[in-house]
Amino acid sequence: MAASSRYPASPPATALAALRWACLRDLRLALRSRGEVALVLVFFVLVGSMFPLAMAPEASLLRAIAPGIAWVSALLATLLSLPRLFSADHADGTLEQMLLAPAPLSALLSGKVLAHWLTTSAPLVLLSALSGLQFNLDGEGIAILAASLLLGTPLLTWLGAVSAALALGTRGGSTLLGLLVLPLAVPVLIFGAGSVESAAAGLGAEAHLSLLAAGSILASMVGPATLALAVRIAHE
Amino acid sequence: MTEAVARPDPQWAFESAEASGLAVDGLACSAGYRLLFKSLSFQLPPGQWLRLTGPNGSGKSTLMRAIAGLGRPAEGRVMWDGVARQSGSTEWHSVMLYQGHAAGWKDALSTRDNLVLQRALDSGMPAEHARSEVDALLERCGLLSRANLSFQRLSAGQRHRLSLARLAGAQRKLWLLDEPTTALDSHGQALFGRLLSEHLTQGGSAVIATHQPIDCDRPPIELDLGARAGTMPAAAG
Repeated sequence: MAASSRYPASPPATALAALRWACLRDLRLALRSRGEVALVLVFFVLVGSMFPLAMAPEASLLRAIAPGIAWVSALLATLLSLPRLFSADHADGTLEQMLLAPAPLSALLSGKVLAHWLTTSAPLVLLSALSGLQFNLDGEGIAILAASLLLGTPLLTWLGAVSAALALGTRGGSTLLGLLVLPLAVPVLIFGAGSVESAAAGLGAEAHLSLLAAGSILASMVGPATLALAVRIAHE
Repeated sequence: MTEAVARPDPQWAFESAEASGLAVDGLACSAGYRLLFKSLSFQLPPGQWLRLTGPNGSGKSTLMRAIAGLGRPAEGRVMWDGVARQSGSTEWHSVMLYQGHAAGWKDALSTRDNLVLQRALDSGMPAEHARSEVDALLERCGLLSRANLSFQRLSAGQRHRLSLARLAGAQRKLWLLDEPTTALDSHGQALFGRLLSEHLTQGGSAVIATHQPIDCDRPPIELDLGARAGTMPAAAG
């Protein structure tokens, strides 16, 4: 049979190449739709700014509630951006092609999650410094707030990504997403906001930050396979 | 390869498991609670193509997806080269190319970038060194002058031509194509016929769901899902 010459068995892509491909692709697409990405960040800043307007503008009170508000706004902003992670790829068939590609699906999806974290959560970490200033936090408080977001948002993104994949193709998926993600995010919220408070109380933030980091590491290990499973289920 | 023979009914006894190419053995698929077809068996040796017809809703797309491994059939199995294919495995994915109604192109990217990305995904990554090859594919499909245009500005026919360009470049033995020629003009249809003939000559095979005549120099094996619905023989295979 003359077939073998025309079809050289191309080696399946390595996990790293697949991750890189998916991440670069999504970063490029994010660059094309900068408005959508910026929307999430503007939302974060706006939600944070609402509280001082609605409450008594008292410096000590604001300082006390600052970490909680920053974390809740970060959570809501992440939630707002989550449907974007898979819905477009689901609608135009890209996700189907990823499922059928000669490359590890979990690596492709991890690349997407990484790109999503880089375009939404990483800017939030930087912007949290701004909202820290708004609430009259001191330098140390701002640094710990940013660190807690940096360590906690990967866990949040993985939780959200798996939920978003499970909600694919369901009607009212984005509302369902809120119901799915918010309860799961409660521990992250508690340790995230708690880190700044505990530092302010002189107890040190190490315990809280270590727990957030441990959660994020665990999520990055379990997340890829779980996410691949969720996407497969959504396509059956 | 022996000459292609059009068989009146693909429902023949399931032969030995040693056969090369695609074989479907006793497949049954349902949509919700409705059984679309059952005991569907056929063999598709290299160098032949199967034309899948049937009224809307008779399960053409479901069958395609079941073969590709996107949907799980209610019963039966899909074999490749005599072995049950592992759905979801990279080995199977480098044998088969599935193109459904949504082809996975991005509106925001240019025609060329779309194809570069897809080809990288199809053929084990590195995206950079594929440029010249991609331009040759675009030229063959009459899209080179549109290479820098964003995909959303292409006409429906041109969009399908981009899928043809992907098909021409991807070196897969089995094509699973769902309505590949809708919206194509007569030149596009002729181009698809040539691509298919080439693919078959080189030992490839294809399952194509279509209602339009396809100008291929080999006659297809016909499979009409509509004619089979509800009139299943009690036991087959």
